[in-house]
Amino acid sequence: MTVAARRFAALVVAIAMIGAALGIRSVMDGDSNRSGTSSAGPLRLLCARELADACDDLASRSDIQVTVAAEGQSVATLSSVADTDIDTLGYDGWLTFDHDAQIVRDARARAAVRPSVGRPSESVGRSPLVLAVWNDRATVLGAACGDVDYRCLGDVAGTPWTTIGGDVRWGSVKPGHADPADDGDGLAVIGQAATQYLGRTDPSRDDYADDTFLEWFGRLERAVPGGLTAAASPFERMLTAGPAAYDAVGTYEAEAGPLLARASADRRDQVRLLYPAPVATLDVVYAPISGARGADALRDVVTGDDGRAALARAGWRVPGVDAARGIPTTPGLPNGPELPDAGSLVALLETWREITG
Amino acid sequence: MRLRSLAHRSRGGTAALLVATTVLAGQATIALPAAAASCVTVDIASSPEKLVLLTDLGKRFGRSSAAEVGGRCVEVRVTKASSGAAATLLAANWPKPAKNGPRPVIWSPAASTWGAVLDQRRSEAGKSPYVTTPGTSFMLTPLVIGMPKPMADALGYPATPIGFSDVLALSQDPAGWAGKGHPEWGPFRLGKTNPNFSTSGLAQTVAQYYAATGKTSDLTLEDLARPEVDAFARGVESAVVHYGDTTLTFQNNLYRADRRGDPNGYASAIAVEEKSVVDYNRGNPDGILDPGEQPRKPRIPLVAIYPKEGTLFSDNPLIVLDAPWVSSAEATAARAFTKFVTTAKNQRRVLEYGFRPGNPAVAVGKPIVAANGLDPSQPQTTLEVPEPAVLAGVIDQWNQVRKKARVLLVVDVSGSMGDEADPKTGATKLDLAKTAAIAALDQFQPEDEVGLRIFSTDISDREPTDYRDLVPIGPISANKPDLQTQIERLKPTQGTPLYTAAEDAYTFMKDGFDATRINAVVLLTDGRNEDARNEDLAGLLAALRTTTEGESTTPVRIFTIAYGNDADESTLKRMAEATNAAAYSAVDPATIVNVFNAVVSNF
Repeated sequence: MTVAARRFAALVVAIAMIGAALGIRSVMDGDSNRSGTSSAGPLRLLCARELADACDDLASRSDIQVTVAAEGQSVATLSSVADTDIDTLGYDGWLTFDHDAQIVRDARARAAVRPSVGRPSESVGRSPLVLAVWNDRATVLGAACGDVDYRCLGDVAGTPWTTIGGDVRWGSVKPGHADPADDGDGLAVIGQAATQYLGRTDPSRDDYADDTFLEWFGRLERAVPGGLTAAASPFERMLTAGPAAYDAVGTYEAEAGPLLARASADRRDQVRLLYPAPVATLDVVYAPISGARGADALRDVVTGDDGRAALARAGWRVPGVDAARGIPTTPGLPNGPELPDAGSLVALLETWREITG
Repeated sequence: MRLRSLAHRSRGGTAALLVATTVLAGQATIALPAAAASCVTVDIASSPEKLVLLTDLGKRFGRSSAAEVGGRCVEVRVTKASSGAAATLLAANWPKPAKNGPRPVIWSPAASTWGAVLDQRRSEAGKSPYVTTPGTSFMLTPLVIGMPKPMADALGYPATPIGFSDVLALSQDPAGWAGKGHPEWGPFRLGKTNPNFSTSGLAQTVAQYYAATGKTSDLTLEDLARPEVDAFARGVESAVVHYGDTTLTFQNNLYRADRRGDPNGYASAIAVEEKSVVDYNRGNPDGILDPGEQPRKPRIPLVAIYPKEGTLFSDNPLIVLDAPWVSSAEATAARAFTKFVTTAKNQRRVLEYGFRPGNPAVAVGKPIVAANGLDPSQPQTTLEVPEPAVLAGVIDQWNQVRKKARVLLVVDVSGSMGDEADPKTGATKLDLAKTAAIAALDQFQPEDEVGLRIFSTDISDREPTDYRDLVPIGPISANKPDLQTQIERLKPTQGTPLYTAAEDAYTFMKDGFDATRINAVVLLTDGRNEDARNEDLAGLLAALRTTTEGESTTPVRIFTIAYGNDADESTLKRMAEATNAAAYSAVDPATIVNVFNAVVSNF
């Protein structure tokens, strides 16, 4: 081959290489526009355990990397992380509940340290709190109290069913709910219980120190059975172990509705879901991690159509999106969560810890 | 990565079985083909009662499309490990896999509380937790009181709610069944396992203390110390037939008594899991059908009494261990298996095996139906698992109040016991047996009475020539040093006069029967009868049965240990069964320590 010919061949190869490089870059650029990715890799979402189904669903449809954690754990971490370590948390955003996001922000504001999470989004999904009760128990409670709600449960919790007309084999009245120290729904449920007993949604720390409240709240919480372990939630335990596990469980519609819809007829027909008045809700929000590169991109995904659809499929009520099986259209939801504010919930949690040891 | 914490949703129940620590390490592996080299292998350490079920599910999983991780096939291998034994092994990082079985990827104890026990032990030892993700409870079974139906009927079953308090009060009634119009049934006899070894035994003992206090929750150490509670507990224990490491011993003995036409003669009630009642009434009392074994329904079925005070559940978690030997691929495969077993289709299979499904989509139905003596609508309430310190107190108290034992250790010192058993150390079979026997002495309580007899042909130049009492039966608190010394001095001698040794030991114990104690012979031998002067096995068994059938007023039980390959396991089993006891096998001499522990758990 002549020198000219060799130069020509080299030129062709060079052009081909440039073309290939441009092509590869083009593909890469196209990839980076896919939902859930950024130039720095997949977006990283910290997700409340109650929202695990929605987060997993979202992750399966995008390149989002999901970490599911108990809310108590996330709140503790995000409240106490050192300013300099926020960037190394490894998350771009947090899908959580409005009260938990606010608890973190309040804690850091009190400590006069840099916020670990930015201002949360508006609610992207909501679920009313429900009280799941075995029919036969609900009948007896109704006869004893009138309304079957937390006030009623707290009045009779821990006492033998026989004292209010129940069967000797039912033992004592056993309410249940998730652990408030660990789970966002557990904290919301005791918040709803307190507001029902006190008759208002803005209780203060002083209200929780009142002897009458403490007696009632202590009776309610000390009657929650211990010793039930494994990963199952109290409502799942209620359905699998039957009334032996709990007589009534406070939970949220997004869990109870779909589970009950899938349950066998013998279970489904024996359990009723009550919406204690005033209706209170768990409100899902997205909280960006301060300074995270992917925070905004993740917000777009989580609060966008994909995220809203995933929440709806998981049982959360999302305006404009079809509800999942087992989720009714009634009752209508209040404008706000109708729960004590974040500071009040923290005070209630402290009271709960003192009561339950 | 999935972050989950152990403590959530389980306030108050952690470390619930903390003190049930001295548990058997009995392991048995279901033989499965070796994993293909390209497959991901998920080893499961399973509590015994669900071994067959999990093995079945593992095989089905292996054939399913779900058994694939990253393009590799997945194979599941299931190994039997009692919950306490596995917790002990995991606390020590599961040493010696060749001996103890493969290190598990999934651990499935009978109850989730064992997971908390494990991590508490590891924490106390400064080790990282292995149960960082709570297990998935894939099925449930409640603790019940299994009772022959005529006896339950006599207590008003099923119309009258019956509780631990009723049954335990009856066990303390000197009139026994006569007080219920059935003097022919004799005294009330209770079968319960040793709470140091058995989950159901521990649960029953907790329930017993609740019954004694009239509580269903918040049991305290002060409660345990109350004189009337102590008296109640002692009364209950006095009605115990014997203890043991597994409820299957009771079921097998009850079943044999039923086949002999005397089901009411062995035990009036046994504390078992509901699933065991299903197995019993199917004619498969131990839940395992050996090759060629055909289930035959008992003449008189058991019914499950769901105690009116409440009961405890075994929730059978599948725990994917966060252990260093578990690879990412294995953990992923383990989660795929967990998902597989919780599907509705496989949960129906769980039900077929007599467990309650962990997936609420599957209704509790056959075989958990009234026709099998069960009530799917029960139990209606639970007892609270006490706090760890109280649980420890329950165990301590039980050790104090349990029925005392009067035991004669009868050890074969025939020539074959001098055969080498451990090529590495050169230890003989007798050496290993001596070590095991001395270790087992620690399990007796000071008030237990223990003696030592050795046997071999012409071991003595005076009558009786085939055995010699080295340590007379007496309180072990005084006898222990002597027992240790004499056991250490044992040397192999002549042949094996097995039948004579067994019969004479039995007669000796019968003659000195103590009604306040469990009277038993522990017979260890590595051979078969080699005594031409006495080859009458039929006569021996007949003699044993004659005084055992119908539970004579002086029952003596012979617990046998078949030791080494040459032991006559079949004959030893028949001897044990003839006295409503249990036969143990230590074909591998290396297992003798565990086997000795299991035997002594009966006392």
